[in-house]
Amino acid sequence: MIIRLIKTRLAARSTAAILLLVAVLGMVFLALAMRLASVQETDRQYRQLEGLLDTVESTLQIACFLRDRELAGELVAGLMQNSTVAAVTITADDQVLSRAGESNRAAQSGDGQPEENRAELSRTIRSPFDETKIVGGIRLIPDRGVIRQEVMDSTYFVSVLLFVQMAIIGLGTAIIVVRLVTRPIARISRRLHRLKAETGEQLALPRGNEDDEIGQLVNDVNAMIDYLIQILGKERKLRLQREVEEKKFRTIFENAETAIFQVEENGRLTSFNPAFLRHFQVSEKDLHGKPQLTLYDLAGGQATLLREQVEACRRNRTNRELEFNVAEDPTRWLHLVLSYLDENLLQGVANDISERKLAEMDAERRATTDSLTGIGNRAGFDNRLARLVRQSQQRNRHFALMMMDLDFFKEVNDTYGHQAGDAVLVAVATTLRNAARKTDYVARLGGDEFVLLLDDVDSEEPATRLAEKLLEDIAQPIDIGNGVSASVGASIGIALSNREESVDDLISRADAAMYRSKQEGRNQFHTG
Amino acid sequence: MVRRLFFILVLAGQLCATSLAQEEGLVLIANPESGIKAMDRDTAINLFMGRFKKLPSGITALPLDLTGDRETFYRQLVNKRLPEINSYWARLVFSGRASPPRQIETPEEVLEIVANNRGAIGYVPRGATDDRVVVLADLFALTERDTAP
Repeated sequence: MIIRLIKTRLAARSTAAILLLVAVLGMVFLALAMRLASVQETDRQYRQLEGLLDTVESTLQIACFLRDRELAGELVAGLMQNSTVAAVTITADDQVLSRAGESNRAAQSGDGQPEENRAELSRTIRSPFDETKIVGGIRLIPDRGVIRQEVMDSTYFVSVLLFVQMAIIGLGTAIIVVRLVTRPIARISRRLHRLKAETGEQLALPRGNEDDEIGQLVNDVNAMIDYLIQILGKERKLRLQREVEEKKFRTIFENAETAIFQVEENGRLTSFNPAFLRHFQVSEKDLHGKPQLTLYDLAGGQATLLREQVEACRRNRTNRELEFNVAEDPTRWLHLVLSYLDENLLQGVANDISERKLAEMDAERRATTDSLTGIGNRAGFDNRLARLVRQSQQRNRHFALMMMDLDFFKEVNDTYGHQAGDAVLVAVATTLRNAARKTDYVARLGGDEFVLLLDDVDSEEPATRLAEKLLEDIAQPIDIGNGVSASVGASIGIALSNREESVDDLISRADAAMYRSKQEGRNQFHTG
Repeated sequence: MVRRLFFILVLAGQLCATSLAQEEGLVLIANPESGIKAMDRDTAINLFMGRFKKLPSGITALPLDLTGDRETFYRQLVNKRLPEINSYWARLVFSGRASPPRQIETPEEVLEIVANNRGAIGYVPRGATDDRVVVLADLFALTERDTAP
C-alpha cells in the first residue's frame, strides 16, 4: 500500500526520500550526540565523584589514621547515598576498614570500553598530621549503568526533538510538493486528458505557474498542439489532393482504350485495366476460372515470343516494343510496349492496332501481288528471294529457283486478243499455284514470264518432278471464252542455290537453263 | 568591644606561649617504669592523637594534656592550631574509637599523675620536671628519624 503510494505519488516519493535522508542524518547526529554526551557525562560524573572525595577527605584521613571502622562505615554509607557510586572500599594499612556495594557491577557494565581504565577512582589517604605518611586508601567504583541512564535521559530530549523535526519536515514536504508540484501537474494532466487537441483547443495555463517550469511545460504542450494541428491540416489537404488525383488516374486507367498492366518476370499479372481484358480477349469467366492469370497463358502460340521480350526488357532495362497477334487470330493485332519498373516487375501498355496492321498487310500484299493473276509480282519475288538467300546462308539450307516462259503466248495474244492472253496467264497462274507446295512461292515477273521458289530442297529432284508435272498440266488446252481453247507450252530452267553463289549468278544460271529449253525445242526443262 | 577583648586575649596568650617555649621549652615525660627511655615524633603523634592505645613497651597509654600549654604543644607536635585539634576530637565524639587526652590544669598535677601511672605520658615546661619522671624528649629536638629504644 505504502510502496504503491510511493510509486504512484510524487509527493509521497519526495516525502519518503526526504524523511529517509532526515532519519539517516538524524540517526548519525543522534549517535554522535550520544557518544559525546556519554563522554561528557562520564567526565562530569568523575569530576563530581572527585569532588565528593575532596569533601570527605579530611574525615577520611581521620578514619584511616585512627583505623576507625565506625567513622569509615559512616563515610562509606554517605558515599553510597550518591546514585552514581556502585562500590566503595576504605582501607588502612592493607586492612579493609569498610566496604559497600558490588564491585563487579562496574566491570559488568564496563563492556571493555576504553573508559575501563577509569572504572574506579582510588586515592591514597595521608595522615592528617603528617603529609608524608600514608595511612590508608579509598577505592570508589562508579555505576556506569547510572551514567548510561543519565546519557539516555539527556539525549532523550534530542531524540524527541529529532522525531518532531522529522514529522514536521515530512508533513511540510508532502504539503509543499502537493501544492507546488503534484496538484498543478495533476490539474494539467486532467485537462490534457479531456483536451480535444485535434480541434486546436489549447491547454489553460494554471494561475501562479505562468513563469515557472509548469508554465513552460504548458506553453510547450500548446506549441506542440499548434504545430501538430498545422501538420494535420497540411496532411489532410495533401491527402485530399492525392485522392482527387488518384481518382483521376484511376478513371483514366479504367476507361483507357489502351491496355495497361503490370507483369512479373514469371508472367503473373499483378494489375490490369478493363481495356487489357478486352484487348487480350479475356472474359469474366476466364478471370474467375483461373487461380492466377499469366500473360503467357493469354498469349497462346506467342508465349515464347512474349517470354523472350519480357526477359530482354528485364535484362537490358530498356523498353521493348513489339506487335503480335492475339489468340492466333490473324485479324487481331496488338502493339505492345514493355517498360522496366524494377527487378521483377514490368509495365506493359498495349494498343489495338488490328486496323492499321491489316491495312498495312493489305498494302504490302498489294505491292507484292500481280493484280491480274493474284500470284506474286516482281517486287514480291525479290523480297522472297532475298529472304530465302538470307535463310539459306543462316541455316545452311538450299532452295531451288525455277524460271518459266510460256511458248506460243505471243501467238495466242495476237490471234485472240489481249483478253484471251490474260485468260491464259490467269489459268497458268492457277495451275502453278495448284501444283506448287504451300511453302513454295509463285510469281509472274511480267508478260508470260513466271517464276517459282522452292524452299528447303537439297537436290534438284523435287524441282524436276514439279517441272514435269507443270509441263504436262500447262500443255492442256485452256478455255479462253466463247467456247474457244488455246494451247500453250512452257520452257523451264531450274537452278539449285549454293552458298558461295551470288543471287545474280543464280538467276543467270536459271535463265541460261530456260534459254536452253527454248533453244532445244520448247516444252521441256533443263537444270543449270 | 568583644573583638578587641578577643584580640587582646589572643595576643596575650601568644606572648605567654612564646616566652614559655623560648625560655622553658616543653618536654615529654613518662613514668620511669614505663619501659621507654625516649620517643620519636611519630610515636608521640600516634599516642596523643589517639591512634595508638599502647606505649611501644606494651603498657596501655594514658596521654595527658596540660591545659595552658596545649596551644604550644600541638603547634610544635603537628603544626596545627588548637581549634583544628578541637575539631578533630569533636568528630570522634560519637565513634568512641578514640578519646582526647585528659585535661590537666597544672604541671604539678601532670607530674603527680605521671609519677603514679606507669602508662601515663605528658608534657611540662622543662623547668618543672623532677626525678619522679623521665624526660623522653625535648619537643624541639624531636625528629622523625628518632627511634624508640
